[in-house]
Amino acid sequence: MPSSTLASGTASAPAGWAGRRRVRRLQLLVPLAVVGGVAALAAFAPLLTPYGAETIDPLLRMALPSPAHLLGTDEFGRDILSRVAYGARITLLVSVASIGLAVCVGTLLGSAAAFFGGAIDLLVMRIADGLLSFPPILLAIYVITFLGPSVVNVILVIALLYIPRFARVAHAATLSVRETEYVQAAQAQGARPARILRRAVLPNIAAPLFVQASLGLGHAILLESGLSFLGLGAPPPAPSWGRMIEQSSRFMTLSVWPVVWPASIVSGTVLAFNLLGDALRDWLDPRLRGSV
Amino acid sequence: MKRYLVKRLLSAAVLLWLVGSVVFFSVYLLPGDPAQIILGGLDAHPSPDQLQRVREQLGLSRPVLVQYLGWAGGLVQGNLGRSLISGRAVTDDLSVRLLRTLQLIVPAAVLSTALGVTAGVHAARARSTFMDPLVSGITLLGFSVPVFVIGPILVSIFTLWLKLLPPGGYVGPGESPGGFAVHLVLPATALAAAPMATAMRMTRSSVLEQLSLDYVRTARSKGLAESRVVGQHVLRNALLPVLTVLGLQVGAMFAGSVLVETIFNWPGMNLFLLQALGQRDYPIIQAVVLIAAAIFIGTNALIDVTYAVIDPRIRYG
Repeated sequence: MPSSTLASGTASAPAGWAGRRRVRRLQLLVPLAVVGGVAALAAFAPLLTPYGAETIDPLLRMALPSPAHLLGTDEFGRDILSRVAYGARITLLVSVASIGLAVCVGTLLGSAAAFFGGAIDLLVMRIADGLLSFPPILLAIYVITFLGPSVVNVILVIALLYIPRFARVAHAATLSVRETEYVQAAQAQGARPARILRRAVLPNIAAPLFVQASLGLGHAILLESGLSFLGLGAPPPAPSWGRMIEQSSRFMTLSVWPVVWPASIVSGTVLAFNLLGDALRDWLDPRLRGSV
Repeated sequence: MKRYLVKRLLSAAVLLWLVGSVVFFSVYLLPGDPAQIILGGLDAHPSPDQLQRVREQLGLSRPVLVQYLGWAGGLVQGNLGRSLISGRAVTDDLSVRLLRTLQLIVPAAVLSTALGVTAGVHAARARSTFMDPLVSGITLLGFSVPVFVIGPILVSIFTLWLKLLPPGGYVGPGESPGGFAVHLVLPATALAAAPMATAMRMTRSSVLEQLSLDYVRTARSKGLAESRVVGQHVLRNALLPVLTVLGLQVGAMFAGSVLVETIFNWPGMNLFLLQALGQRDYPIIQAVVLIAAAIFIGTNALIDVTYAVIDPRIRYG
């Protein structure tokens, strides 16, 4: 990594230090607010709307936004706001649970492999390579065909896809701290490997994992809604953003609104997680500031 | 160099064999029985006798290991077996489907690379103008807006509103080159969006990194025109990492084309696979997954080898 202080000093806009700090704070706060908003939508779904996500009103199909239906209704006369809000529950549950699982298992495997080295290292990392040598969504489709479409299975599949990615990040980070003096000091004191991993290694490799997890949450939402777009996510009639887009896009000649809302909320949420990941990276790893 | 080449290609071959074997055996664990599907689906009630006869006809009653050896033997000769449903040779159908998917992916790859690299270089050279934030904004959108959102957006603009392009379908270039092109525009654009964002971001950060190095200062201080500094010196170094990522994009595009083929009803390899999965057509599933993995693993190996050719540190490392 070349020193980039000279480059960023000369090449970037003369915004001023205070101004740039304000921009940086906004870059963290705005996506946090969006994610918080979607989380609130999910949490308070029953309070926000009097309709259920699956309640059909045959007399009021494809209605435009109105006080009674703030986002209008879809081709079955279902309230879109309710479906988007209840859909947020599924999507957030899937992405948080799957990435959480992947972070835990992946970090454990990757850092243990790097720490102990030898045959374990070889075995774990080759399996990770094997899983990564496969187009992710094809693997997901294939596994879902085995397990059948359900929320739990989608969580398991996305976790399976991300475990090798987190294992790699944890592996690389652990390799770089393994030889440091504080790890050697802990070893010299006779600490058990589990304790060294927990107390000396993990806190020092957490930063890249955090960044990766935030970006992973965005990817998981894309995968979850992609799978439900293909009809492999949570089974109907559960409201899922991907399937809302898929079903309503067949009726786009009549009205585009039932597609616009779920499409915007998927894109906005993923965008927020991506921005959050970038902001976290800048914040946790000042060396990379301005380079990405 | 030769040793590295052999090692890398050997490991790719072993990986492919492992993936192929896992897929071969796992297919038999799929819930659902192809014999049942042939005899009328889940609602039909064929007698055990009938089921047994169909299984024997399909060769499914042999021990799995025997089937595996038969499959592997055929594979070596370029024979991927016959479809359980239509009885046609998988190789025939698959080559048609693969060609159609490539007809979609290659234009998308060219489009995304050309646009992405150009925009990335411009953004890096003009950090303080409107160009840089613009490119960064497009990049973020490309990463965040899923292809199944881009698809309907394109359809509503170019089909419903402007009435210029068809919403989907496929016309072979042999039948009508114009019809082929018209049907290609929207799916190829939708497929190109995400890889273009990656190409932009990679090119931008890679050029920026190179611009800060000493050799650039030397080139500038000896009075070289800026266009030559960038065109001759920086690009050559900066595009190296971009190459890797673009190679990986080909794999990613195969994955992305699952959704694109579904959205635009493009009858390529992925729709073939989805259909075969629904019908439990084992030979087709095994063949498509194997081909997809081969392309993915092959591009990765190719990138590594290209990289080793360009950068001597890798082959001796």
